Amino acid sequence: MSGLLKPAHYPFSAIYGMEQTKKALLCAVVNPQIKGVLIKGTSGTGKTVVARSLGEISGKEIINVPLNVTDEQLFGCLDLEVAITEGKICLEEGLMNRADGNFLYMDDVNLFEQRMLSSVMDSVLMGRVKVERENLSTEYKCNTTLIGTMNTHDSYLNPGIMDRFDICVNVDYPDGYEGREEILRRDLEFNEDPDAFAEKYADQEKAVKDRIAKAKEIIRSVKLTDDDALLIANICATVDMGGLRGDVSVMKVSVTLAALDGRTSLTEDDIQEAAVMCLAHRRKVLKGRRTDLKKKTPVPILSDENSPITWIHNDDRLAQENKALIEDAENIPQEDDGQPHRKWKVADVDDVISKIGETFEAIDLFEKEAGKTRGAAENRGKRGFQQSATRSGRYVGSRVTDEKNPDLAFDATVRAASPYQRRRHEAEDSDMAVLIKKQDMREKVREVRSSSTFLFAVDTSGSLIIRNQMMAVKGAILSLLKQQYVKKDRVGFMTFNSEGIKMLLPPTRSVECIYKLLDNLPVGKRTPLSAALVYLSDYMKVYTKKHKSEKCYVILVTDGNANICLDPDDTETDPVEEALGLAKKMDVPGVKWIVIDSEKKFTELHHSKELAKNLKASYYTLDELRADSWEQQ
Amino acid sequence: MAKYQKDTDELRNNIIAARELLKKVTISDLLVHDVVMVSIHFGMEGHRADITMMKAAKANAAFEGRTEVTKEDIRKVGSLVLSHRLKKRAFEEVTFDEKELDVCLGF
Repeated sequence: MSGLLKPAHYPFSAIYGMEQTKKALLCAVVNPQIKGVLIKGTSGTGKTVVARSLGEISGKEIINVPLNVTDEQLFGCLDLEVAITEGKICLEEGLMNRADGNFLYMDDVNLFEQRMLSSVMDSVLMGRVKVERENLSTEYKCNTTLIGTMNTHDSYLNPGIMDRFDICVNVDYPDGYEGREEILRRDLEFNEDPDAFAEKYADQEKAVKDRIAKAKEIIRSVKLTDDDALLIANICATVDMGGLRGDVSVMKVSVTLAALDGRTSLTEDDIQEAAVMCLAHRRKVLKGRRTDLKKKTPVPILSDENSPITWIHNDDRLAQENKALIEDAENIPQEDDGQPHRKWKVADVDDVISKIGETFEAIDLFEKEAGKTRGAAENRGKRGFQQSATRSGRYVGSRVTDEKNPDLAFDATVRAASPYQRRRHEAEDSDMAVLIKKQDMREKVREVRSSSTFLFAVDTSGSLIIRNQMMAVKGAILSLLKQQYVKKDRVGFMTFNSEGIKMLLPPTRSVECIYKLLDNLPVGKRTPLSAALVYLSDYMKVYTKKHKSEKCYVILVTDGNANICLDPDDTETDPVEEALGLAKKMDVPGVKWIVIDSEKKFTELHHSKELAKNLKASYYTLDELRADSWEQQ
Repeated sequence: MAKYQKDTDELRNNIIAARELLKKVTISDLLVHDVVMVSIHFGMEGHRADITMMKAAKANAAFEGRTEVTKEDIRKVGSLVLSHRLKKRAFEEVTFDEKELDVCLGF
């Protein structure tokens, strides 16, 4: 590699494949009204490469926003030097200033704080940044386009933020080996001599630039007819867009596509292509309906270019086409549902069956829990960040403090003090460079990623073995765990039977060993439910004290058929009554209980429902855990 | 320290020589194909694994004093590149199977 100061960027035109992504980015270059492009793809597919290559063909700078950016760095803050030397309050430029007239680039956009992301999106959409902080109130222009990338697997992005991206494209990496080989060869060539490589593609780069220049020239004369507008509105209405942003985006993008093609009038293909780019990520997931993908063959987002759908301005035909579009759309793989990748999931089920029982797509009962008390939209965010009460976590802002020994935000304190320095130095004779008074003190506001703990308490008594339910129980547990695993929460595992109550795995993030654990669960004859409840209560009381910011769930998997009392020699008390009584008195703040009934059918001996009621827990049977059974309701 | 000084020196010289040689190392299209096939076989999704495997194989060839990448090079670096990228099935430890790589490369 040559030791250039300016790192050599891979040329845009040398990027193999990714046609849709490239087209979307070209649209953003040509039409500055397109304010946001989101690129989704698995890691290592070239999202970053393609975004970086834009600089060369657009002649604009790509302003990269690092993940650990602070509000000050991003939006600008008080100019310390001016404040201290002149006592004046003015703004020191931030990244958003530099983004004016350029591209703003956020890698892994879903990992940014929501609050910050939301501010950035607002500013980008308004074309202005408003700063109101530290005695500072100002506003500046910021005409930019936000390019965000995100990984398909680990990703959740708030639908509201998603909606504000005009375009969302999925990076399609080549399926066959030919494409991958070509990519490898090009990479080899690029690394050997970046300059020679750039030279090789110079002509193609120029062609792209010319195309952009031409498109910019004619875009103003592209006419959007009433028919075009009607068609766009119709498509958006058909796929059930909530807001109007989708319509506007489709309109902007289809106009740009026509301009890129050198035309001043729209074709139906333009509109169709624009709809694919602009609407797929805005589609709502209908409530209470989880599409089971195993049954249906997934179809590419909306329809691809080669699909037989043609748009004809005839109402009857239109209705028919729309129907086809809906049917297509219904088969869209549901994204962001926190499921592990499907490819391996389907393949893996077979060899799990024998010992652990069938795994299935489990409902997310923890989300359901949270959804009951808060809005369904909010509970996802709850799994993001929350303010930290301790001195750990990320420093996200500052506030005035009068604490004696605060978690001092040094930068903010100095900034607060800076405008008064001249006056203070005039007033008192001091050899301190910066005079800080009590009222300047600022403390840090910190945020920690909120996480949850799930403690599974599993009844491994004989009553389960006899009814051959253990396999099903294991399958259910594994299915639930798979769902949680994706979210990097803490999972613990406890069993109870007449042999004793065993904490097999105290809550931990390294959950790999659970699979093995489940395979060899120790079993005993009888069920000491009361003792288990007492143990859980004690354990969780200590645990919640240690992990204050965690949300704790205890998942009790049992058939409720308690047959050992707290005191094993006690023959007077009815063990079931005792357990139910204990459950009623159970009081561990900060812990939510969930009872999963491991009994298959409702029988006389069945007590777990009552147990759930006494614990104020939600109650599920094994069958209810299945996502597909939920769909049927 | 003194005891291993000789080995260390030797290793350092090898590395320096390999760095020089690396510029001349070539990889045939046939082996590029093999790299891609291995990647596909192990379910790699992006191109990072392919690219790294190719680079590592080249480096290994240079380290062993050759200017042409062989299948053996890919075999040697395969586990280094692939093992941490294997798709983990939840709650199970996945270990890299050297034999699988051998079969894949036709050894």
